[in-house]
Amino acid sequence: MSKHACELNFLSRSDGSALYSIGNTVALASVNGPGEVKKFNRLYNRAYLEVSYSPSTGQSMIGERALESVITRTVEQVILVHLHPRTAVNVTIQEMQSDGLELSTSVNAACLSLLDAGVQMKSTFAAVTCCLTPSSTILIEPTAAEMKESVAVATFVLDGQALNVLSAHQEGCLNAENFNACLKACQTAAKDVFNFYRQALEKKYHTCNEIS
Amino acid sequence: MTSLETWKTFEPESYYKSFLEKNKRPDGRGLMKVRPITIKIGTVTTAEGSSTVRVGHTTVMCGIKAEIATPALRNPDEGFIVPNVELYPCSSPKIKMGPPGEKAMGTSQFLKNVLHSSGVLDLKDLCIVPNKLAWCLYCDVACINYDGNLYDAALTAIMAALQNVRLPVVSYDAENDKTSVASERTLPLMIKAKPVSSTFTIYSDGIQLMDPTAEDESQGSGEVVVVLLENGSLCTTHKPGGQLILPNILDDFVKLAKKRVKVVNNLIDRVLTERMDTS
Repeated sequence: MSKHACELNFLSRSDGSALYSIGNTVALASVNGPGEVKKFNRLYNRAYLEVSYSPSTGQSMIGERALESVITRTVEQVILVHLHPRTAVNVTIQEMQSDGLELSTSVNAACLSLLDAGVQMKSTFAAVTCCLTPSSTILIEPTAAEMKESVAVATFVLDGQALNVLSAHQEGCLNAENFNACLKACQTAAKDVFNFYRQALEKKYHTCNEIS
Repeated sequence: MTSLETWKTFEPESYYKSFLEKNKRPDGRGLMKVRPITIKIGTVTTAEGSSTVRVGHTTVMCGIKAEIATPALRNPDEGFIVPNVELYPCSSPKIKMGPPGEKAMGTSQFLKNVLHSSGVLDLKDLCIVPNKLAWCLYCDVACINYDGNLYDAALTAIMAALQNVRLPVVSYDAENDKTSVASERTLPLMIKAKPVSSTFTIYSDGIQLMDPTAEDESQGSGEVVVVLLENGSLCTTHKPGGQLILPNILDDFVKLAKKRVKVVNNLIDRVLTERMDTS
């Protein structure tokens, strides 16, 4: 598994922010809300969630729009939208450095930034990417070079309570047996990610206690 | 308005739930029953390959135009395949004029991913002269009536259209740097895989529906798409957020999707054979 690192409350003007890295892939997520919502997007019984993702180089194309869509629909399921009607929660993700793990880094950065902002959620969530090599080995959080050589790359977003599947994204061909093996491997790795979240937040609150 | 229609308009959630309690949907289908599919090919005569697919009321047209392009520097011996899905405002009151929205972009990315993952076309087969000329297939998928399940309809349409494509022979004279394109379209594409997708909507814990209509999708909370190859083995899955699912449910989905694979591929083969017989 690659090294995870994060810094919370990185941006002073956002309600919550997180700079997250997995190996050489780095993403910065910033959360603002629940707050003002445009009349067009106002929903009478819940918060409106808007996610925007900017790549580090080049223009936003359909790949980035699809990524936004996955993150929006995952986060929508997890945050308690019905507690904040007629408001909007904005999550902005900026890709800082790319080494193939954009989806999982962005999702994890989004989760930590929501926790940093204090947006109420049903559970935490974590994304783990794995790839299946031609020799049928499963590598967790591969580098871009390893992904290029692999047969398939799968990313699973799992919930913090029971490690069930919130989202699944795959490139390449995986038969049922390999799919289940990848899912199990990701579920095991996700436990380490959730522990990492806990440590990051404990560090934040420990620092706050020291000041007071 | 009858009292039933009043109920449907003012309380859509409880109206819909009342059907599910009896294991049925408002259109009378069981929870795992699929709608009939109709496929027509060659519907866009100006395109190199085309098809029109109806899954229930969802109507999708696919037209494939082939253009000659220069291969990318990174892959000098590969052609291009560019799927693009558009939802026209006439298809549904929820779709507005303007640039493609989330649904269209998500479906375009899904098609791009499936075509690549299942190895439908070897991009090297689309190359005419390395570093110089290659085919670029623009696959335009247009939804003119949206009643749910865009993924399956779009994939079926693009697969039927690809198997219907006829390209002209291209010859390149290196000495004079002259490209000549034959006037007749005769060459079919080498289709290496025939993936078939099946979409399921998660309504709640324990209730899943196969082949959702627009109403099923709006009442449900998330989709799961499983894509199988023609031999029934799982190729790829797509779950873009939505309610969480237990991993073993995916095995059930794969079992149900297996039956659909033969139905769809046989239908496409039959339509193609009929076309060959008549032309």
